[in-house]
This record gives sequence, structure tokens and C-alpha cells, in this order.
Amino acid sequence: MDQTAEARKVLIVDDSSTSRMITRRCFEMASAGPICFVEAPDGAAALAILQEQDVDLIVTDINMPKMDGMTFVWKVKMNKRLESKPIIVLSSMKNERMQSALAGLGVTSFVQKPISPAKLAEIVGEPV
Amino acid sequence: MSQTQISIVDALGQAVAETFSEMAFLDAIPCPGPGAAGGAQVFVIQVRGDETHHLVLDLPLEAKRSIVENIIATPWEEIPSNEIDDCLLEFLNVLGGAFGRLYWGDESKYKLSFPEVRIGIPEEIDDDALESYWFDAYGQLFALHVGRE
Repeated sequence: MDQTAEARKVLIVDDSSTSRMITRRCFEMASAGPICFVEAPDGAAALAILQEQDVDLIVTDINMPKMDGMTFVWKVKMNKRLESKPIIVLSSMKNERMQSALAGLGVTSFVQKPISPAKLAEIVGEPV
Repeated sequence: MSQTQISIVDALGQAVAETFSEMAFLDAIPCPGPGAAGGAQVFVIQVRGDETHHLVLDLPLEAKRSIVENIIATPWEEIPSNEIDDCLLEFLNVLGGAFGRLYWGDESKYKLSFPEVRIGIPEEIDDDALESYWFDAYGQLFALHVGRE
């Protein structure tokens, strides 16, 4: 492992502080390299963060107040500067229609909650 | 109706078992109920598919404590009350999602409301349509009340 590697920055978007904490811990356990986090409680706050900071990966919930995850993903993918950012959607809801819509928007991966280090490790190799 | 893959009882039982095991590292199994409950703080979520189910999670203090301490990995006394509520609401959110997936299946569309903390069974749930399912997590009995519309 390259000890001098710059920490990769993950934006975690979820209205539950518990869910953000679980996601953080899973990344810390699953990631081989240094990693740091920024967090937002909804899509609108996440977009504000993305105006000011660059991130390497976005992990977002779907069911959130103010701006839901689907709208947030759409806005990211419509933004030329952000469209190539890998996005993992983490949601307690799972159905093929939603997954198909998210795939159409270019979402990298979909994980049904609860996330675990093992689930994350399966997908984390490519985007992180 | 699109759901017929498993019964509501089986879907609830599997959703409870999965969520307790994967999120709180606890085993929870169905058991006979001791009777009335739901008079204190409860956690409520609506799962809406081609019909609506109100799930009311009714936990005694010791069960709350076990779940929250296991998820947050911090002693109960050190966790602020708002974080305890957030943790239990997220727990119910995951349980509701698991129930929807198991009951309606991956191919069907269902939605979850935002989970809420309430005192007692919410008035909007018709008592006649309410069924209670009891579970045992290492000797701690708790109920999941289900109201169907």
C-alpha cells in the first residue's frame, strides 16, 4: 500500500446520522488506502458541498427530505463538472424499477441497506 | 395483487430476523405475545405497495438499549437521546425496506414513508385492522404491530 497516497474523499448523503456513521465505518473497514469523508443530510446540502469541494466518490440514500436521492443523482449527472463522479446508491428500498432508473442515470452501484463491510468490499474495488 | 410469494407473517418474520441480525447483531425469533402493548413510545413507518401497511415497532427499554448499543458501539448512557431516536428510526427504516422487498418482491414497486417517533399506536391506524406480532431477542420481548389499509 502506498503510504504517501492522498486520502480519497467520500461524500455521504443521508438524512440519518446513524446511517452515515455505519457507512463511514464500513468504508474504513473495507478501504485499503487512506480515506476521508464529508457528509450531508439531503441532496440540496450535498450539492452545496459539491460546489465548493471535489470528492472522489458519492454515496447517497434515496428517501430524504428537501431533495431526495433520485433528484440529487439527476442533478449531479446533468452537471458537466460532476457527471463522471462515481455514485453508489444506498437505500432501504429495493425494486427493479428503481434500480433500472438509477442505472439509466449512470449510477455505479446500488446496495440495499443495511450496508456491511463485506457488501461494500464487493463493489468498492472499482469505484474507490 | 402482485404479492403472493410469501405471507405477511413470513415476510415480517424474515424482515425482523434479517434486520436484527445484519444491523444489530441480535437474533430475533417469533414468540407468543404477552398481551396489550403500544402505550409508550413507538416507531412508525408506512410501507406502501398495492396496499398500505403501517409498521409500529414497540420496543421495551432493554431491547432499545441492546439494538442501539450494538449499532453505535457506544454505551447507552453516553448516547444523546436524539441519536438514540435516529438510530431506532433508521433501524425501522431498514426493517420496513426488508419487509417491502420480501412481501412484494424485487419486481414490484413499493415506497416507504419517513419513519416517525410517536406515543402510543397512532390514531390514524384503525384498531380493528391492527395485528400484533411478537418476537424474542435474547429474552427481550418486543412487538411489531401492523395496520393494513
